[in-house]
Amino acid sequence: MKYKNNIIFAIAKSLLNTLITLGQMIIKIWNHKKGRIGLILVVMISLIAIFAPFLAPYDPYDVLQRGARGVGPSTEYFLGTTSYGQDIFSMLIYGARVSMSICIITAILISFTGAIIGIAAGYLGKLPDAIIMRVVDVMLVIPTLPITIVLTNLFGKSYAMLIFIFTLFGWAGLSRVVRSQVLTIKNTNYVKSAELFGGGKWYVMTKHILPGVSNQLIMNTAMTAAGVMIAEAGLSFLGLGNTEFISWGKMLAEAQSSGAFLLGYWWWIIAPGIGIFASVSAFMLIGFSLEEIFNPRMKSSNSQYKVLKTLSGTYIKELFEQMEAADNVGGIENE
Amino acid sequence: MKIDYVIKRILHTVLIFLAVITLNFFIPRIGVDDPAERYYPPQLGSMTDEEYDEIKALTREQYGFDKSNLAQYAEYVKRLFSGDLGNSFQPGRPKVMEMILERLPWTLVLSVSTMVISAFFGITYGTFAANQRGRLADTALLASSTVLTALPSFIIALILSMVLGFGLGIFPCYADSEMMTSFDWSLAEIGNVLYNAALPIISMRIGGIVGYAVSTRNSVIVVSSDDYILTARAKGLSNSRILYSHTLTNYLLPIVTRFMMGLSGLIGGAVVIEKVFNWNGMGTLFINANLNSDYPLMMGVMLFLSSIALLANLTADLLYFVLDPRVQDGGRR
Amino acid sequence: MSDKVLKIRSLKVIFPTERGIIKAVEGIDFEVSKGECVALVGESGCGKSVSSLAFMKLLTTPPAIIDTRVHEFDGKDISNYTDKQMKEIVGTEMTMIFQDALSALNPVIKVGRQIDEIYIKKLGYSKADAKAASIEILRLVGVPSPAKRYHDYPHQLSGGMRQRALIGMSFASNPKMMIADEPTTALDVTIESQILKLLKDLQRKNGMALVLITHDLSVVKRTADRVYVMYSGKIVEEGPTDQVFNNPRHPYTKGLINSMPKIGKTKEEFTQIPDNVPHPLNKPEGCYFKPRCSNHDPEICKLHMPAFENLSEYRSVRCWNPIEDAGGE
Repeated sequence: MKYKNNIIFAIAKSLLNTLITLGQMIIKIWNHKKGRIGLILVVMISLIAIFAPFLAPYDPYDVLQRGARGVGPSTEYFLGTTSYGQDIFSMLIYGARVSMSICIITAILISFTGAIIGIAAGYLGKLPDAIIMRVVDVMLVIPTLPITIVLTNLFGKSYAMLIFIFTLFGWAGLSRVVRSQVLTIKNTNYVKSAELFGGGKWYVMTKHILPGVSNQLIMNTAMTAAGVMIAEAGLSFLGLGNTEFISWGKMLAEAQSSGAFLLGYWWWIIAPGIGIFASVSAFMLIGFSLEEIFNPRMKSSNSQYKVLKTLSGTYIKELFEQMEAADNVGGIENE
Repeated sequence: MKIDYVIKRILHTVLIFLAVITLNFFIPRIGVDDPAERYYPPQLGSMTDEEYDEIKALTREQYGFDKSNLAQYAEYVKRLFSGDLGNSFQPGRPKVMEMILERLPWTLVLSVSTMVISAFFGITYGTFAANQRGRLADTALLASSTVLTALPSFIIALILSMVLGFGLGIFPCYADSEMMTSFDWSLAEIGNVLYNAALPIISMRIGGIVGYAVSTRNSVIVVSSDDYILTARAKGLSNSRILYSHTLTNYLLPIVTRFMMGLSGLIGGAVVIEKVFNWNGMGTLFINANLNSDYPLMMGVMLFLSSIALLANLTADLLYFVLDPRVQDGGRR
Repeated sequence: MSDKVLKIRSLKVIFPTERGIIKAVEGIDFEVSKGECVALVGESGCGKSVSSLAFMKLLTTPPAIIDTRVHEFDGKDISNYTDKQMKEIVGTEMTMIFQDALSALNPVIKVGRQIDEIYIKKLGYSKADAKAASIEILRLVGVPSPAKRYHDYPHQLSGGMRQRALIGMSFASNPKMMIADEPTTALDVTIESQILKLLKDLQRKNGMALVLITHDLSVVKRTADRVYVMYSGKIVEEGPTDQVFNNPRHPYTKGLINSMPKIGKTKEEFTQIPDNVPHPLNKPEGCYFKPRCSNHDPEICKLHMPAFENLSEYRSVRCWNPIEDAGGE
């Protein structure tokens, strides 16, 4: 009984720690210009997805009922309608549900599996490592989009199946990165000394290795979410996405197959395009900001150079003069 | 020592290849007795049950699905090594290999030209931007990269075909379907292909050029802050000499890998673009095979793409070996 | 004096950053004569490496912003030299070697070829002549079987050999001045003395001016004729090496000397300077050394930066309250 309590306590503690780290991370992202934009976008789109039934003016599946087919943007139909008479604004709002949830869930699943497998390979070493890395090599060679198509053909195109397949073929790349980081950490002196003082494998893994790779993981989650969003959109565009719900990729596919171009229904293409673009860039902005926070050397922005532009020539001249003057305060002339 | 590395890489590649073959063989057999079970050619709709069973039995025999899995596997591997990917389920049992080879050039037109274009312009511009760090050329690149990497290529394709195709009528929105049958290497035909390929290539590569440019820029900046570049500058070498013989030799290494990796990814990624423009390449072949549940064809294309990826990886490894003396001595990259 | 190889007056280097302007070097005067070995010594982060790069005009601008009153090399005013003009003297008349020879040599080019570059690109040798000359220079700097080593890549050489090759590369053109930035820090003690001896030999033989940038006082003591002590972007003491060591006048110099390990020193004699170098964005008011100084004056030291005062013909110190003259000069 007591033992059981201990386990619960340990789990609660690690959960709390994770939450704290996550909170700190969010504050860091918030303090970063790019990150803040990304964060606001993700939260906004997620809220739209959650409250879709309250926000959408019409039923997005409602076809042919009002007879308003292929109507351009107007006060009645904010973003126009499809050639079947569906309200595009409502479709856009509902589409956010599938698109956002698939990519967030998949990204989290991929990060978990990738991390666990990568850490296992890197930390256990020897035979487990060799086996895992060969499996990874195989997974990475198989082209992602085609294999996803094959598997959906075999096992169906349900929402859950898509998440499963994306995860199945998404973890390999991450676990390779995690493994190499683990190897680096494993060879640091602090881990060696922890082992020397009798730290068990589990202890070392949770105390030293997991915190060491967590930065990479969180960054990766954001980037994976963006990647999954693109993949899901592409798949739906090919008519191979989930069959149950409206998604942005599916809207594009319908637009193309019903000849939205020929009919000049540009709003039908632009609206889901903006949805995809906004959410992909939101995740990417978060990813970029994390990359810059964790790895300042790779900084893609040029803050230093921007600062330089704000400095006027006279200001710099004065600064140099001040330096020289400070030198001579003692009253004794230099030379 | 040196040759060990090469042999090791080749053996490794062979091992992975065998694993891929095995997966390719077993994936369509998961959960069914017979891969042909899902294949219902349209003309079967009007058949009676007996006729249907008869056809099914015939297919089983024709494709050897009546044998044990192990025997089939042995047969599959044996045929593979003579370059035979099996027969398609389609009427007339066309050879999968021939179907692929027929479409391959059309996909290569798109992917290889886009690869070369994006690598060339991307590397050139990236180097330029790194040297202009903080100025307009550089900030413009970084700003556009955030936008363009977030825009999937098929959306770019849709917008381009809407504006340049339907709107202004400069380029065709759909590929000329007769182009592929009538092609005869005449100048007019080549021109026609390029005219039709323009939009697909542009939309596939806008993001690619920017991707190359950004990664080139970043590696130039990282390499430029390396000590040996400072040494080269302290030797008073000219800027172009520093760029070509010191910076380039070092930043080219990761870019070579990127190029090789990109090649395999691109052919797979062309699937969506081919659909936008009705381009009759491997992607379309694959999508149609999927619609018909034509497993031999699907898995054939898969194996083909995997092999290209494997070969690209091997080439990248061997190029690394040639270009970086540290790898030759067994050091890590 | 006309035998001054390098003469710098009031060199200032700043780096603008998001969090403020880093004042890396705040007006230093520096000179080195023909055949002289001068050391610029200080803790890491004091601006000595930045100064040495500025001496050769190798700092990239932007991000750095540089200002000098006088910048003369070999009697020529080079303060307004363009990049192109500098390329004519850098690498031939003035050369530089760096701390870590492994990272300072290009990993994918053979060592010999990297030396060849000087001969071919800077001195106009033919390829064959350059190779012969490179092998000769490798022999001169004490690389065993130089014809063989010529074909090696940097990672195939030992640390000492690499440093020798790097020295050979910067000595290939018989420079008037060589700057050595921490040339022995990455090496074992035994190799260190060999390398220092090599540098001294080359310098004496050619009457070259040698500028040694280091944090290691024992290196200075063994090698340099004259020494500049740098602290937080400013020179705090200057003078002939033996005088500075026997009779330090700035409390910082004394602290550095006292913290040197030495055989026969007792624990009590071995002292440390408390705290660290001030952060370049957050330098204290008045004298930068005041917070760490054991005998600072609470009034004046807090308010003003002391001037660099001449104590005698050769010695100067920047302190309101210098340590008493121990005599013996």
